[in-house]
Amino acid sequence: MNEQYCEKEQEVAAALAGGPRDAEILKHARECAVCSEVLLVREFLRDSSQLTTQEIENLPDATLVWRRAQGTALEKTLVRATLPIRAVRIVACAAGAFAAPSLVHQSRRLWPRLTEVWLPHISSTGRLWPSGSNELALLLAITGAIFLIGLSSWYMLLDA
Amino acid sequence: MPDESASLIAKGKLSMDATAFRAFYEETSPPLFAYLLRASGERALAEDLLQDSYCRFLCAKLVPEDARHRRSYLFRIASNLMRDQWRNKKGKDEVPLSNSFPDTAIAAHDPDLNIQVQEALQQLKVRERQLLWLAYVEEASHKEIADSIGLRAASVRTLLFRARHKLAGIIGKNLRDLDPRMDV
Repeated sequence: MNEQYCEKEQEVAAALAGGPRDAEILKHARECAVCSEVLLVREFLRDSSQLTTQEIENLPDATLVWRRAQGTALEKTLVRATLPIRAVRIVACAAGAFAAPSLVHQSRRLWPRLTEVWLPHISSTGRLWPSGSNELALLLAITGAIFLIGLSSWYMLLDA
Repeated sequence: MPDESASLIAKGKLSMDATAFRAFYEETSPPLFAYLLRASGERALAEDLLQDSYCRFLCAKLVPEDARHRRSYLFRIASNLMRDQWRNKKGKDEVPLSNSFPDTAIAAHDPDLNIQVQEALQQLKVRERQLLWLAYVEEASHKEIADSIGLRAASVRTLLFRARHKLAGIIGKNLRDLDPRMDV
């Protein structure tokens, strides 16, 4: 398809849009193939641009749109305001995830001390189970605590 | 109290006050709705896009002061939203906007024109409808159209010519079908 362009196209469009209606321009618009196409399409679209009274009445009320925009603005403000909290949460979770292997590694060294400090205390407070199983109970408690910390961090990350 | 503080937070964040917005809305909503309705072809979608456009406009940080630029900015937002919608539909393999043109989409005053407009626009792509509407109804410059649709200004002239030629062909054919003696 050969592309055609008329230098007077913009002038014709301007004249049709309510500008000065020069007789020469209008004559040109009727004779020129490009401009007559502009004329045809423009008139066709302009006729279809009018909405019916019912359509105008059915448009949403300005107050409704205004309130919706207020809600959106408030939401955006809240998102911006809570950004530091969410950022700190994410950093804390990431730091926790990085520190966990190191903590497990260090706990091996701390384990004898922990048993020294806690086992006599647990053994003296009451013998609910055989003393041999105290070490296992402590291990289970620590594992459970770490698991719960991990779970809560994951939940916080999801929330963020 | 929470409602009051909330409205105070939101108040400072909108680009216009309520009175100015009402005047702007009453002036621009009918042409914007006509554009969205004719270009998208779906009434419900056009209504949603209309509300979203104004929400984005009000929440924007830098809104032009000049009335013409402000209107152009609003149409740009609407065009972008329509393009996003079209891309989403395309991505989900749903019916593209250009093919979903229900009978209720066009409600012009003249029933003959109604049918003609419906048939003619149905054969154009969404972008072609946008281009033609912005150029010949909104009388936007090529640069404004380029900004609104996300094209280069240099491409607008070519694409506009093709779209116009296509629509002129469709209108001419429709008129010839109505009256075979007519030479368009």
